[in-house]
Amino acid sequence: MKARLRGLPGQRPRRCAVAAGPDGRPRSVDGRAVAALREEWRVEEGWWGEPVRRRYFEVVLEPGRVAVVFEDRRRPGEWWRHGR
Amino acid sequence: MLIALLIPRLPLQAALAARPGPPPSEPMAVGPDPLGAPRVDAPSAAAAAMGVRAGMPLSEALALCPGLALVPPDPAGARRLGERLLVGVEGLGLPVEPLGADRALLDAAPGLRLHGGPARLVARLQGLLPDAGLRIGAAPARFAALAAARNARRRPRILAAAELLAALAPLPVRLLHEDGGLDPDVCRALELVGIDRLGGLATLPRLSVRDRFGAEGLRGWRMSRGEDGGAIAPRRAETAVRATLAPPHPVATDQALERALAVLVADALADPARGLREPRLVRLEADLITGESWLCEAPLREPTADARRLVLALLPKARRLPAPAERLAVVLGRLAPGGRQLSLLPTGGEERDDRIGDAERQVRAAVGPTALLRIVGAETGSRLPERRYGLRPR
Repeated sequence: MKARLRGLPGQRPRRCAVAAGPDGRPRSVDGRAVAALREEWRVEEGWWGEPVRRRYFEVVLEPGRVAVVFEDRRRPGEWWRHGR
Repeated sequence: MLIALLIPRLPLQAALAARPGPPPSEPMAVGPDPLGAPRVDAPSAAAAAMGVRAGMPLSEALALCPGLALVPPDPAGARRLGERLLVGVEGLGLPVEPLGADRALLDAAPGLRLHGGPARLVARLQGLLPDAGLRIGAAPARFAALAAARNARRRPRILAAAELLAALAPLPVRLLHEDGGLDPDVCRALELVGIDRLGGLATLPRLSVRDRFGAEGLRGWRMSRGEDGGAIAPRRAETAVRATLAPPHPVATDQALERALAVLVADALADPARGLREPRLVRLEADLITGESWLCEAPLREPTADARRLVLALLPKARRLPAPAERLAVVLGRLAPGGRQLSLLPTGGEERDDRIGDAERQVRAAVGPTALLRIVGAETGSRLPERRYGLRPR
């Protein structure tokens, strides 16, 4: 049997709808308002092959749920979310 | 010499035996199954003449034959009729291999002298189900015997070794799938290259068939030439115990069904005929108030005589009972010596691991090798979460 590695379903990013403010930080994620911004970081790597340029935010959404979202800097305005 | 027995239109015969239907000359068919897809089965000769085929969608069948009478199916009755045939053949002292519900193959050699020759043996076989119009075919090879039975009518059709090739040649290639169990893709591939009769296949060189169609094609080639062997795998004597219940009121609710199953399973387990053996199959047969019969069965992973587990195995399927039942029967089948033994010393989780291993094997066998995946670390230090872990087949 050919052992092919597949990413965990919960870890693969999925598209999400984010309304960002003028500073580029998310104000709402999938219709839920952002209560707090916990952390922000950038990932820039893979220039030698498949370049990855992401601006990550860890936010607390309105009911108290933590979400990790990122904007794909290669395609500005395109937002993705990790986990459910 | 092998003898094939075929009960023509078994589902229709069983359904008509359960309740009087229209006269046999009318176009009719069995169906639809209350729990299955709306399809017809076992069309009568009149319906078949109008183009109705077994497995055809109901709407298509009615469009082809607007006067088609539908007879509710009686799967338990069909099973009983098929079983009557097998038990009858075994009663004649002949080994028999069941091939589906409506056909069986038997080896005539041990019984020829016992029964006074082939003619008398065939007469006795015909007497097993005198009203069922049993079709009998005989040939030195398996597929040829089945094909002979298919083409037999009132009189049995007997093919000698010398006439096999000529008798099989005009038959369509699809019979290799229908009677011989050949991969349907191989049959389709043969038809696509213009080989639609067995004669066309039989005359091809063996090595060419093997090179082009593989092992399955070679098997078909052997069948088409009547060279697929003259041996059968006779069934073992059925070992089962049965308990029946005819409650004063039809069983209509889940609660009543559960209680009835508990009673029936306990009764069947208490049957002295079971001895110390434990069932590997539990089956529920029900006579519905609508006059139909219904059955479901649950094979078990390992033999068990635990009444609670037996009820738990059967209940999810039994809940699909399509109508209130007037009579219920539970059959505990495939009785075998109990497999699980208690251990002398307590072990830490071995039994749990065994059961998980069993479950894993079963899931993989049922769904495929990629049904269960293991989480493995791929680039655990990656800053991209989706690259840290992966799934791979175990």
